[in-house]
Amino acid sequence: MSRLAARLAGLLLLMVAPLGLTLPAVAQVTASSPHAEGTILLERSASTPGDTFLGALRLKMAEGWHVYWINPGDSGLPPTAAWTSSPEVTAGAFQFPTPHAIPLATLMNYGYEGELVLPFEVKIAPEAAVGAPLTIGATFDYLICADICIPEAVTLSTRLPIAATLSSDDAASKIIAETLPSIPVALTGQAVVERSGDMFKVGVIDDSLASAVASAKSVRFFPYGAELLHAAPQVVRNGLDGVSVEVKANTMFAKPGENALSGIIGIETADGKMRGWEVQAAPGVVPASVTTTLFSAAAAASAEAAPMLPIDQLLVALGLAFLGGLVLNLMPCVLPVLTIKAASLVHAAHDPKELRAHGLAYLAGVVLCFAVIGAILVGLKAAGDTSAGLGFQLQYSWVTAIFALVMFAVGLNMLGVFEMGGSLMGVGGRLADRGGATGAFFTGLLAAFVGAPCVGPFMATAVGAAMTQPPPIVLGIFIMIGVGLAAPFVILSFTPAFARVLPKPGKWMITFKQALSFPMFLTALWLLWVLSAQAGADGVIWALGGAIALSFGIWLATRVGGSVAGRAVSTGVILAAFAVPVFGTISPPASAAAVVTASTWSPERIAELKAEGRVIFVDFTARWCVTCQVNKGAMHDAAVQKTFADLNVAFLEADWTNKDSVIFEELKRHGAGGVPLYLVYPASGGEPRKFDGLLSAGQIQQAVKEAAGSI
Amino acid sequence: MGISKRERIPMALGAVAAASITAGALMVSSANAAPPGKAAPSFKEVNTAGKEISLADFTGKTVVLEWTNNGCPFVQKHYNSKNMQNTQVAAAKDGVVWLSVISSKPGSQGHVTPEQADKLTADRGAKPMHVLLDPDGSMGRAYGAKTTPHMYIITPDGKVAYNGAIDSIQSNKVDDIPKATNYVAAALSNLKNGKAPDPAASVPYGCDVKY
Repeated sequence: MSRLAARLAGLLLLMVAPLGLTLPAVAQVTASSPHAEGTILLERSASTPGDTFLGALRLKMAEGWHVYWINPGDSGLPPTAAWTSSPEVTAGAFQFPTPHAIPLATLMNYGYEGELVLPFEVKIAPEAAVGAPLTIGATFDYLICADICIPEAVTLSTRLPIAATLSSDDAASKIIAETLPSIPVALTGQAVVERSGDMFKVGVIDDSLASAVASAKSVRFFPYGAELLHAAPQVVRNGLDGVSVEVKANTMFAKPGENALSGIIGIETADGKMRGWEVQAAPGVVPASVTTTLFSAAAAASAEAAPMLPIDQLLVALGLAFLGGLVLNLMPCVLPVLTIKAASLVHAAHDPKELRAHGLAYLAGVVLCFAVIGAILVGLKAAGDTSAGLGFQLQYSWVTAIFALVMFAVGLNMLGVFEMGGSLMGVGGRLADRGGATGAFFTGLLAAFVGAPCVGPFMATAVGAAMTQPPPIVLGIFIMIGVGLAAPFVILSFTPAFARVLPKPGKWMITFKQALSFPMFLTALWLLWVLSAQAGADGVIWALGGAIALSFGIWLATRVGGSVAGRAVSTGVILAAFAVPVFGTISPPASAAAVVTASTWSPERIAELKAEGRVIFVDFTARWCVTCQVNKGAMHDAAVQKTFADLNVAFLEADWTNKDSVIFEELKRHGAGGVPLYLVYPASGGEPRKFDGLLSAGQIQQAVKEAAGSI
Repeated sequence: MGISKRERIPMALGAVAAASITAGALMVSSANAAPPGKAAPSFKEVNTAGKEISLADFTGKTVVLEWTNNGCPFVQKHYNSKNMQNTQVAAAKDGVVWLSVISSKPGSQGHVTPEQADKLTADRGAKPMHVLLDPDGSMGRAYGAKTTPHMYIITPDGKVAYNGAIDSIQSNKVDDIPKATNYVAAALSNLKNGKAPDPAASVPYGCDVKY
């Protein structure tokens, strides 16, 4: 055996070494073979007698080349080590990371491409003398293959000082630590295997594995032995309790009646990391709870393999979505839009038929907008953008800019600067048009669009549930939010009694309409403020430039809009007005580094503060979330500030104005689909208390006092 | 809109999966095609002289099939050490037919012209009865040959008697040959003495066959 031979040679060297024939003198930590560069790494820069630690062989392979797992599959050989260390050093076997399946024509190999870090345990004998450095080294043999295979080797060694106290090699420790999660772990659950004819069905019942499989890109059983046909397709199923794999036996080696199987279940996580669970499957019956659904990477990507909600929970989620939509009517971000709605209702109130048409058109607009937002979110998620949440539309600075301009144009229209003559004024201008149904439809679109970011307290739960569900359910939940948002106006427009309460149309309506233009301008201002955080002062300047161009275009339209040429010119100017801020704000977003301050939230900061035993108050906020801004007032309340100071509360802010996957993950973890979310961590440790929706100063004080244990 | 597209993607993936499973099934059926005890797949391939050689030509004789690729380090291990040649000579003495098979596809490692194959045989002092050229891999797939070397022994009545490695130590080191059990020599000796090969199957090791 090659390993034996090399070991014997090594032993021989060690035996002759004390006789005055020294070992190769120069320690070679890194060496290259034609297709790989090998490095020996140790967690220690100095060790002690009796110490045990990890070392590793790191192989950086040339592109397209691979080395093999402990079971290479249909061809190949795993790397081996022939140790040449000092006698006081004992090195253990390689701890092989979870391999990749490498298909080769009709064959299958198991191995590694790119960079491989192969850890091994190192023990220093208790008799080792302090002060005398020891050699740790080996000739590492590896078969490295692309379409052809070449046996290569590197001879590496390093001198390790033996001291009274340990010191660690941080760089090497980091590299070794990074590979450890990919080393298969022992199964805490149990594994069984069923054999029927020439098929094996391995069932693994394990909670950590079950949840890992639910979001995995790929799942595979890697056998230690030759009982399986390596290249045969594996049918993977999973369920709440674990995973099962069906694969064809290699009847040359798995004789009938020989039914035990050992190997690892290897998975590739959504972010491309390999994880493994060591499986010793004894003959038994595979339970149904690990075979519920056929695993496919596509299913995992579209629904993150979350089990579909049972029908009763689904109905609850839909009900909550409706309630959430209803509550959205009271949210500060929707109120300005509702003033438009109010204005159009007053117009239509004299005609019950028109009123009903209004109501339905408004409903259609709201529902369509939510459905589109839902569909886009589903699409973004499928495309791998997991950081898209509710309100994502205002995370794009150009969308914010366009909306600011639309609001501005609506304001101008309501103020009476221009009347809607033709269709050239577009969406915004039509809003307050007496034309009715179309206007109501666009009002609905607008209300939903600006309302979506303000996640109501009920909606956080519903949206949280929605995002893990299959696309049709996601859409259903979004549509229900829309129905809820539209409900009050729809009900009003179908109630003839309501019309009688409203005053008769008259000259006062013009005044009313003009007065309502100011909430529109305020909304535009708010959007500019959001924009200032997204695209800086330049972005705001571009948007204001767009507003001037827009005014110019509207003015042109009112002067020369009668002729075809005039209409064309003014339309062109108006379109250009919208294009200006789009081009101006699509510059790269402000770097995230600018927002890092002492009070910035991060998971690490939370861990530190928890360790200090402090009460932590976290404000998950975004500039475009008006509820969040209202709540800021409560937080800045003098009494609240004093309570924070008295109780030494750590006050952190997680700003979600721009896309941020870390913050979004945290929101999801707490069941929230968006902001606001407030977390209050108790001083005694443990899970935080959650708040969302509108907060009062009293509530905050109460919560932090409870968390401090002072109530 | 978005929804219908989203539904189409899983469907397309499903179709791809179904196709690949079908392809896999075909592949698998050949991957395990020549287990010990089963009838050896028939074949008809040309030798380096351009003559068609088939399994039926050797009815009544023990036949050894050796998959080979002269560029493969595992093949070189057994030729540079003369282990393969010695096994061939011993087999020939007992009247065993030895066929070396090259299934490397054109352009891949080990693919040779008939002239090159003959030169290799002469240079290495190899003693196969024929070198069969299987550049389309049909014979290799029929037998499920995975590695070079991969060895098969066929009994005079056309059954597979041995399928697997040349010897017991999976390595590319010449030093290991004296320590290893030569499974092919052992199986031939057992067959000669009227006994079944033990083992009749082993995991072949080496380079992948360049299909």
